[in-house]
Amino acid sequence: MWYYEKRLEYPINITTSNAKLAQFIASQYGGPDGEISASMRYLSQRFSMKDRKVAGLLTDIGTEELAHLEMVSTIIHQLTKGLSMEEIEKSGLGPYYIDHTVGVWPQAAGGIPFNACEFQVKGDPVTDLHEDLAAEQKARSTYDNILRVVNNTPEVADPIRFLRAREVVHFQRFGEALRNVQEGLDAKNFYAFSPGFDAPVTCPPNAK
Amino acid sequence: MSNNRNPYMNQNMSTGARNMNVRVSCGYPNSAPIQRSAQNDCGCAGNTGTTQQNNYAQRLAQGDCGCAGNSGYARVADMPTGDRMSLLAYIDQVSFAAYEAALYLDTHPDCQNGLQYFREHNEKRNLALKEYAKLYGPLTLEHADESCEAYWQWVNQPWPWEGGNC
Repeated sequence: MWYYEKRLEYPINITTSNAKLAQFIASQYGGPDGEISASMRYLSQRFSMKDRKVAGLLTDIGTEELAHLEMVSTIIHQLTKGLSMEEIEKSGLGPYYIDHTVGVWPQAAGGIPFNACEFQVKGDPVTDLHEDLAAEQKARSTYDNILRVVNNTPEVADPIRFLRAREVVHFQRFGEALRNVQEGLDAKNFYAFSPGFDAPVTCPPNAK
Repeated sequence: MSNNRNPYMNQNMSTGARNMNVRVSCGYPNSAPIQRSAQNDCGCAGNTGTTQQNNYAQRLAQGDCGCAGNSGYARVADMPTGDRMSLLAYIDQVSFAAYEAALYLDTHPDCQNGLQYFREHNEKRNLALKEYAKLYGPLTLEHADESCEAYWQWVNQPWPWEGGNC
């Protein structure tokens, strides 16, 4: 279900390498609240959404997060181009370099590798959408943290600001999705049944 | 529908990074937001940290899907002629507008203004992609063979992650 266009969602042209920034920004690639986590979360959760609009939204936002993970890995790649051994050792990138040279590998800034424990798929639409709202805020906060460090480097700060703005918009979309799901629930008791498990499947209007 | 149980739809949504001395800009001055004039939020997180009241529930009850009619949102300008980078920037902008509209339509599938906005920008996008493929090489597989050359140009182009240095 995927094909690609040969352009990034937002242009990235970093001319000066910086090993320390690369290490920090890696958290938005392979960190707990990063773009890999976001895309895997949404693309996995969509299967339990009986509301077609919400399944569609999760697929579309999950796809956009794939584009974002590509942007972040591009930033890391460009920031590590042409680094000298001295820069690598002085910046703290030494341990990463030993295992990965300047390849792009998904881990958090602190070193924990990306893993599925960093996101949840509960199979309950209300629960999962709350997780998604939280995920977008966590990502926004991480971008805020990164921006405090890269604020004075426009060629890095620019795409980061774009990514941060997208997190805020996704948060709003998930709020609307939650409202959509709640409209299909028992208005007197949201938890009376879970559409992810208890409700019958319905096909789209033109399925037959 | 004043009894809206969704805690996220009635909050004051602060969109700015107020305490950070960061001038936040989404970088797309003419970008999409269908709901911009209704919610005072273009999705670029603002640069003044203005708060907004999201009274979506009440408006929806009055048949207002929130796209605020024809005058509320920006449209992308016409396709530029000239160099590759400005056509690529145009494709970036018009594609972003279409994509943002698509996300909005996922949760508001019957918004007529949103549908029209999407169609308009998607058409512009398709024309621009075709033009780009003709002049500079394909951006998508469906345009991969516009030139009918004796070489699979698809593997012979710069990759977007290489930046401007290729």
